[in-house]
Amino acid sequence: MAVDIKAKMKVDMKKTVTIEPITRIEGHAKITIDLDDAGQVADARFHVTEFRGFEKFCIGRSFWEMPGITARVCGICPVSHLLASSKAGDAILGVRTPAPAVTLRRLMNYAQMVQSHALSFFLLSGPDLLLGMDADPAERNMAGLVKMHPEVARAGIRLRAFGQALIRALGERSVHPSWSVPGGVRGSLSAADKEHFLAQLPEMYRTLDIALDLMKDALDRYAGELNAYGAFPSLFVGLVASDGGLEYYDGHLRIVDGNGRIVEDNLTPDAFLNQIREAEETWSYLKFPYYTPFGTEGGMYRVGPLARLNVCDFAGTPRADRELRQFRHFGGPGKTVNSSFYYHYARLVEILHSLERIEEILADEILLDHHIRSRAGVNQNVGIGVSEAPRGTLFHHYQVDDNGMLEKVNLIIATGQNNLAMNKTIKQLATRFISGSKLDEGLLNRVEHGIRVFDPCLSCSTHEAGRMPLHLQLRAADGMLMDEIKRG
Amino acid sequence: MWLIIGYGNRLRQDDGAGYRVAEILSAQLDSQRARVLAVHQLTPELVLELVAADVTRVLFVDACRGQDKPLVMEKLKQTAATGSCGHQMAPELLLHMAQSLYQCVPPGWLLTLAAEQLEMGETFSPTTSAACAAAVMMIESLFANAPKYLQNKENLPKNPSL
Repeated sequence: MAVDIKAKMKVDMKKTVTIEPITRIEGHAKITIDLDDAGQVADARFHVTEFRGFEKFCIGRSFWEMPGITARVCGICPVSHLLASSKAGDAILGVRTPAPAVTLRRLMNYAQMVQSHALSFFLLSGPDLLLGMDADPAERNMAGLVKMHPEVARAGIRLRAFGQALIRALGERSVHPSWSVPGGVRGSLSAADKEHFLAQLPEMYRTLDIALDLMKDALDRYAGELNAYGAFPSLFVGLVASDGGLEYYDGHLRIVDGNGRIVEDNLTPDAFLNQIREAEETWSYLKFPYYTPFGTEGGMYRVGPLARLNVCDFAGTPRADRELRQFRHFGGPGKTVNSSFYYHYARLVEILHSLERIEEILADEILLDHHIRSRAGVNQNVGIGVSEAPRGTLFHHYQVDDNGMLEKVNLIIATGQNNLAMNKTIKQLATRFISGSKLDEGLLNRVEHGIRVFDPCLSCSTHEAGRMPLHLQLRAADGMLMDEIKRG
Repeated sequence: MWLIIGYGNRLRQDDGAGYRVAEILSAQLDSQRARVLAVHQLTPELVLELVAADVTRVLFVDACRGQDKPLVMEKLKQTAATGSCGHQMAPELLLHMAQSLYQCVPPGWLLTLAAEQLEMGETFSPTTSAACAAAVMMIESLFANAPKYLQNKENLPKNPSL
């Protein structure tokens, strides 16, 4: 990859800024920014430089194994893969999953939203939002947050622990649970656990009150910059319930454009996938999905918290709906909220919604029903499972032979679907903040934060664990080093 | 009570050694004397385990590539120097966070096991298999043979080479 860039510099006589690695995201990536001879941003790229290849090495395995295998794609949101894989398995079995099992899967997915979004807001993006983009890099990290805002860190840790504990109570462990299977789930929730988690909810709601106040302060503080953090119209994609409500597990897919108009509605997963193409580039392992009818540029779409709040008609729970109305003020009447900076705010609305749904489910007597699994053999050779992961819509698409052995696997991951938008966000930020030949930490962190707002999970998208020291260089067209900063 | 946290990726061969040691210990140690956690990676909410009222010491168990000795034990310092974490954390930072957030942190040690192979797979190299067995024996012997010794929290062996 580095050789390609060097060659490009020589051929195109451009200056290239390289930011590597991007910190406080899951996985390994780098950013390059090409400047023209006038020092203006010509192009910007988000390179994902890791590779896993789950789609290939799963071929030949039994579809029954897939929830367990694909949950190991990631240690952060294994639940999302577990559920999408189980749903693809449900389709291959061709059975109706018992209602109590569906409720339990929903419960685990809400817990997943809570723990993942809490980590993103409080501990990964919190240092930027609370300590400032220009803060000393030695302080602008989790330890700095603990030092300067211990009450926020404590609350965030307890909120995440709540979600993790609920996942563990259902699946025996919070990372890589093998609890959801084709046809249902392996176990229910004990009465004691129900009471235990219900008792903790008031504290979790109070934490959200704190977080929302902090978020609104941050929106005021960064008001002058919001239009640089991926503020552009695009398509938005997400699941919605049959009544148009916010939905993470079932329902249908809806596509909305950057003006709030519904482009397509009531799409089944296979109908949606037929409308999507995955473009590839030589400089990244992460693919570039787009909505085919609008082409690569117009077909760029975003998924995840911002998209879900833009595509749904309402949340369906009182506290989240109250907050959603405030959120929508930032887009204007009938419009979508288009700046990616609002992903942070959307995550908090989603945590609130998830807590409310968790409260509803824990009080639901359906959890007492012991019929939690349907059993069958292979009745369909193709199965598609879709669910909303914390980072966006997740698809598992399997083709099996009559014995259930996998012949084809296609995983379409949220981070990949945001790839075009992430690249455009970097370019927008670089254009706004890079000028002249001097680099500084504030610039570096703003560009990084442009990626961090999406909370990308590169393990899910590709993966290979690895970290490298940060090394950012600004070189002139003749290769002369104009400026350089290092981290680590 | 001891808190023992073994961590690592069980799909990355020797990297999962700490996790495996914790799995074995959780089945063999008296739960009244040790709480054992096997986790994929260190995450912020583990701070809450460290500051639990009944935890008096914490032992982290991890794999370490390039380590000459099968086992190395070191006393951990609380430090924020390893604070630039993402979705995973260093044990020193966990101790630091426990102290900063709750003004309460048990003394901590890190036991590292020699690791050689970190590719995709669930089997251990011979070196790491031997280190796992030695680690289990060492930790069990601490509990089985020297209960009074363990009551002195500063008296753990500095650099066992088994």
